[in-house]
Amino acid sequence: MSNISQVELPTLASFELVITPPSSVAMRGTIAIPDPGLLLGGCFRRLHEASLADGLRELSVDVRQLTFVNSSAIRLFVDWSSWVAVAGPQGYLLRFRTDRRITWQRTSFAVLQSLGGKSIALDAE
Amino acid sequence: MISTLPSSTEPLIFLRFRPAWAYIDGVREFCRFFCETTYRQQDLAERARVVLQETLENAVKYSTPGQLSELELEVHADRESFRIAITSRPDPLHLQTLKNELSHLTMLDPEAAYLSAFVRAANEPESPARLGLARMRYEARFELHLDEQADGRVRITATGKP
Repeated sequence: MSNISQVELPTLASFELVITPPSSVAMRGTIAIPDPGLLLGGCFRRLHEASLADGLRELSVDVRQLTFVNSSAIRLFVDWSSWVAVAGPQGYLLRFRTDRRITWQRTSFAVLQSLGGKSIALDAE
Repeated sequence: MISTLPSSTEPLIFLRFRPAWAYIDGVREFCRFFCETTYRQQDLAERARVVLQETLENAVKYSTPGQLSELELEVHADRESFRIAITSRPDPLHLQTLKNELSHLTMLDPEAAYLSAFVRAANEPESPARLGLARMRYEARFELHLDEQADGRVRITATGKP
C-alpha cells in the first residue's frame, strides 16, 4: 500500500480533500478560517512526505474546485512549494491543475511557479 | 454597468458590527452578491470578495477588545472608482506594523510586492503569512490608504477601478 493512500484527511466543513493513489490529490470548497495552518498544514506536510517516501516523480494537485481561500491558506501552498524546492532532484514535480477563470488561482499560482522554479508546474485550464 | 450609477457621498452599503470572525463569511458573501447582482461584473465581485476577506480578517484579528470595539464597513462606488473602507480600533502595536507594511508595499509595484511577500513567507515559515495586503494590490487591483482618526480609530480604504 502506498504511503500517500494512508495520509489522514482533514475535517473542515467547507473543504474536501480527495487522494487518488498513486499520485493525485484534489481539493474542493473554500478555506477562509483563522489559522488554516493548524488544521491543514500537517496534512499538506504528510502528503509531501508520503510523495517522497513513495518515490513519486510527479504529484498532481487539482485545485480547480477550490474556489476561494484567504491569504493564510495561500501560505500553505507557498510552504509546500518550498518543501519541494528544498527536496531538489531527489524530490518530485508538484503539478498544480488550476482554473484561470478563478482569480486567486490565476494570480497566486503564477507567482508560486516563479518562486518554485523547475519543481513546480502549472496546468491552467 | 457601474458607470450608470449616480455620484453620491453616501455609501451603497454601510454595516456596523462587533469584530467577530463569525461575521466575516456572511458579510463577504453578501457584498460579493451585491456587486455581482448590481453591476453584473463577475470580475469586480471577485476582487471585492478578496478585499473584504483580507481587510475584515485584519480588523477582526487586531481589534482592541472591549465594549468600544466595533467595525464599520462602507462600500462606495461611482463612475471612476470602487471603494471599500473598514474602520476599526486596532491595538497600537498592530497599527505600527500595518503602517510599516503599507509603506514597504507602496515602494514596489503590485506584482513585485506580491512576489516579495511570497519570498518572505517562504523564508519565514514560522511567522504569520502577511500576504494579505500585497494580495489586495496585485490580485484584486485595489490600492490601500490608511487614515488615523481623532477618536483613535483607523480607517483602511481600498480603492479600485470598477
